[in-house]
Amino acid sequence: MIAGTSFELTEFGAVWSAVRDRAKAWIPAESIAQALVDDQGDAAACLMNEDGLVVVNLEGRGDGTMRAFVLIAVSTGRPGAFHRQERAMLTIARDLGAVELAFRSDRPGWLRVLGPEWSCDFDLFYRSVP
Amino acid sequence: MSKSSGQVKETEAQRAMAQVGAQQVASWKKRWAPRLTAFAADTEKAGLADSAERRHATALAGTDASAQFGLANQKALVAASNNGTVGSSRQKLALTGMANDQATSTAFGSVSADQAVDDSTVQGLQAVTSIARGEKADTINAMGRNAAISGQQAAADAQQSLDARIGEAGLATKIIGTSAGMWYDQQKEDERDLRSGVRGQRGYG
Repeated sequence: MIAGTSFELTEFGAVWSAVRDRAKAWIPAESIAQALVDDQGDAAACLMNEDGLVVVNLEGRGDGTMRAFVLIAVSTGRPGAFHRQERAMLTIARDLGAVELAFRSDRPGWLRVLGPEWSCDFDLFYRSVP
Repeated sequence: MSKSSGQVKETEAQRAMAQVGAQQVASWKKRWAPRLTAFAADTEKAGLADSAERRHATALAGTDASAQFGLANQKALVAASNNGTVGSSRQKLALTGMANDQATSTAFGSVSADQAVDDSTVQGLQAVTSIARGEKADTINAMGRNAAISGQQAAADAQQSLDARIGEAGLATKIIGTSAGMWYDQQKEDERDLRSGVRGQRGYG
């Protein structure tokens, strides 16, 4: 278990085939390619647990702090994965040294799912890491 | 959560920050890597041709067979004693048959245990992807289950052998029930012997 969460650290290239069919319909090829390159180069971390797979890297913010950016997230389809894993993702983001957790999506449905802690800037969703 | 960061690293400062971020992730992964390495290494090591897990599982298969067939032999002896056929050809037939069954069970158990270790190794290597599919990964426990399966198989083989061999040797009815039942069985046995011995003379045809 990573950082006290239920996530396990794994290699994106080794596990992607297991979730590819579920994810490829709505995850752009460029995101997949970036996840693969970043994970192989250790610039991103691929994590899995019972709810699915997440690839996360770190980006610099304008003020010199770091943001944990979720490149890819694929759930196993069980409803409520986001709410079940939000706290774990915040823990991992904090463990990585990030002060913010973020992802991009052009699916407007996220606005209904995310809590008030989240902000939205066009297709970028982000919140601070407590 | 499906798009790339979309951030264009234009300035020198941004490039530097990206590098710092990458190094930070790499360092973090190194910190947690032992968990992943240990998991994969344990699984692969257990699957090697002469691994401790494989030797343990196959040796247990033989031990299980010995223990279970030892108990079955004792039951056969009790059956022979109850029937007063200790040392008879019927008892020897039963014991010889059970020895053959034990050899078969031991060999079968060893092959099964060996195969089970292979299965567990494959299962272990697939476990990571199983997590992504929402299945539970209990691979390491599977290695322990192999031994339990081996014991259950040996016990089942021994019981089956006891039932079959005792039946073949004509001892089965002798271990059933009360002394009255045993007396009744003995009467039937005597009657059969009498019939075969005096066939024709007493008109049983």
